[in-house]
Amino acid sequence: MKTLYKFLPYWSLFLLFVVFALTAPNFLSPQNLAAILRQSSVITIMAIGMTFVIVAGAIDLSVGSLMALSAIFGTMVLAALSGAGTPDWITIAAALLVSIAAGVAGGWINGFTASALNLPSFIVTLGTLGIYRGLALYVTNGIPVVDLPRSFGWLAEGEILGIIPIPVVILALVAVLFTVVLRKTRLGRYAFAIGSNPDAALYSGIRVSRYRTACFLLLGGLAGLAGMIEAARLITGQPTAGEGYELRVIAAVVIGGGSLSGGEGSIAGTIVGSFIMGILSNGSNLLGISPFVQQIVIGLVIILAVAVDNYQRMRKIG
Amino acid sequence: MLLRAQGISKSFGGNPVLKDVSLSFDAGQIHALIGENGAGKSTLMKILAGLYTPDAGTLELEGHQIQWRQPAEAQQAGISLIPQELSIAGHLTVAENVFLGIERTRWGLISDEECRAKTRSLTDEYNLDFSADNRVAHLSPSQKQQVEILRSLVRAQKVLILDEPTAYFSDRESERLYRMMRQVKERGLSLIFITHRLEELEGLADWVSVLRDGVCVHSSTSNSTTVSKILSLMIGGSVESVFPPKERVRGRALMSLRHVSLPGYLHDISLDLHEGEILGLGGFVGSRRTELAEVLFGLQPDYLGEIWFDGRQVRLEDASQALALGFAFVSEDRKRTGIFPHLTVLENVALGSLPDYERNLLISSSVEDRSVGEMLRQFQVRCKSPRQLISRLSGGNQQKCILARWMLTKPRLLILDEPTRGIDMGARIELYRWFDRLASEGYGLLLISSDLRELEGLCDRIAVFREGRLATILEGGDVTREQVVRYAALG
Repeated sequence: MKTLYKFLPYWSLFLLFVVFALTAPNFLSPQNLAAILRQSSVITIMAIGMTFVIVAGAIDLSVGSLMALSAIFGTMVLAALSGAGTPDWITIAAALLVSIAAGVAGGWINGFTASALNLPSFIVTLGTLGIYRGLALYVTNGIPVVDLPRSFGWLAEGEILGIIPIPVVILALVAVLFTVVLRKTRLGRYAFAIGSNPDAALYSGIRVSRYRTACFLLLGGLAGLAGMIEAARLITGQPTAGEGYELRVIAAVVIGGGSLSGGEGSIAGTIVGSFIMGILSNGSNLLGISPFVQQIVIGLVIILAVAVDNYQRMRKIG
Repeated sequence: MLLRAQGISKSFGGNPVLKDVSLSFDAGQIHALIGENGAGKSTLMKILAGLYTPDAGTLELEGHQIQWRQPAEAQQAGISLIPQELSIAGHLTVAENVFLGIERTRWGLISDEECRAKTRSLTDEYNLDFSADNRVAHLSPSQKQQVEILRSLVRAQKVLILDEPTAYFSDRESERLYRMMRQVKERGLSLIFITHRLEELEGLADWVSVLRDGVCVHSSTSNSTTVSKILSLMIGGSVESVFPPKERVRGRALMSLRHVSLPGYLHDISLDLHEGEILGLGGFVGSRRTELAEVLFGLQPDYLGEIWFDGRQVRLEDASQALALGFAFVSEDRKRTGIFPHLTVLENVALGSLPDYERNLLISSSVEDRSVGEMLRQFQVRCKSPRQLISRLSGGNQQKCILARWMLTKPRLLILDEPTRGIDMGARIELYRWFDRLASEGYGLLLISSDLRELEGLCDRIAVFREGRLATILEGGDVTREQVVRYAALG
């Protein structure tokens, strides 16, 4: 029974998969499966970063805005450099670095402000949610960044081995790397400790604000990366990209067993949480279910996931 | 006879926790229930209060057999349990707390006036030193306990059960609560309370029952037994002595404080701690001993004055600095500042020394397992597996885990703030042996304790604090509880 609860997200994903495989036409086609992965990858990459933040007992509401802002910087650099004769892959790599760096900077601002002013991260990132979005609109004057090299689209639409989408390859690399970071490094272990009991962490000599800020920094960097993948899809830097993504990202972590009170969560769970939402919306589309109904279903899934999680915690820690 | 439990048995997941326990509780009596952690005291109380159903056995209230289907039924019948973790709402006033859930209403609106008047008459009746309109958050721990008792009283109680009401109190705070408990008793209620403080048996309890491993091994009037007999009943064997003999050799000065002050709290403290010494810090609550411990662990960076450690002057501005110097700090509130409830025993113990297990930036599980495993064995931590959640362990074992965590940081100075609070006698004796052994090995130990017997029994010297000032340092034959109390009270 205990293991059943523990692996509930995994069972649910499996069950959804079977149900749609049996009922939805073309669900199992390689093209459709690749599409599900591709569509989920932007949210999933950011959700992996959000797992660190939530495990450490914090939250980041600004992630959608930060994703757009970072990608604006990235695509502006790309637009400026392209056509100067440098090979495309170099300019794209440079633009990616700029976007990731911008994300890291934004994450640092979130973490540092929360520590320095001793404010809950919910409040600080509620503020930066608006600030980063406003900045993205301000620097672009609200006009999307265009005139980007066509090869930029490879980041979102490219494939290796003829079927595996590039975003999925990036997602896989990020997932492996950050699983190791969360489970095998000091940062990961301290994140769990800080989320579980911040006072005890302080009394144990852990530099709580530094490590918590580091979690925001990771998330920021991943938002920068995700922002460029999203921009590559339309080969455009959209200042309005990623609106509302923060809630989907947080939902992925929570459905995957992360606890908003901190101390719990896993990368694998988060990925499953994100895929559950991805499969739900893809399968419902194939079945012709209205997107309005899908929203209702996803809302119910979130409540159910947290309810199960609570029930489990009451039995475990009590 | 007001309440009688007959042949009560209860198991959890195949583990018997209570075996055929029979006890009776009279009106107008204070009944103390003692036993080690895990002896089944809390389970028995929860059965009386309807939170658990017994597997076998019966309950009788005023001669009628009863069976609770839910806690509310027990409450309506007049039995209420005040848990150790109080459940009062800090933002509300005393009156609002007392009437929480049973507010008097008029036309559907809460009638504050009536609640306040009723609460006021109660606080007068019991001579309480707070008013119905005080916010509960501003009250002291014992006053909060008193609010809990008031809350039970307005629900017309017959039996009041208190789970370790004084575990976190100083002697003075406890005295307040004892006074109120006696008053409640005089009104004909039956009080049952769980305690680890054996001194409470004399003078407060009328009747004492001892549980060991789920069996009631003793039940009699309190003046017919002695504390040492009860102690041996609790741990199931006689104790030679609770405290190890003081045969330690004091070495050179390890840490020296010169004119250390913390504005508003500590004034001009100068003292030395030597290698191989257990230095006690004595005093009442409000003597600011904990603040001194926090200064030493870098948690109060605004202190003034000089701190010397190992011949060098140091400035302690955050905890990681103190950690790097080789200080360890077992804080007074294990739940709030000690354990990480979501983490396993292994993770909790390893947390202070992670850099030691890193190989190429990654934590090596094998090295970690080995170091932690060795420590758990040394401290004889009783757990099913190191991968078990620490929150599943008893208080004593959790405390050993915290000590183990600090020992892995290779400290030279241990600051122990109420290290045995809420821990049963058997585990305490083990901890005392550890403290003695560490001091004998040349560590310096600074022990803050409200338990005067503990200070007297363990310490080589005792620095007595009074309102943030060092009143005296007791040495040699003066290391007695009488002297501590004298200087703590009079300066």
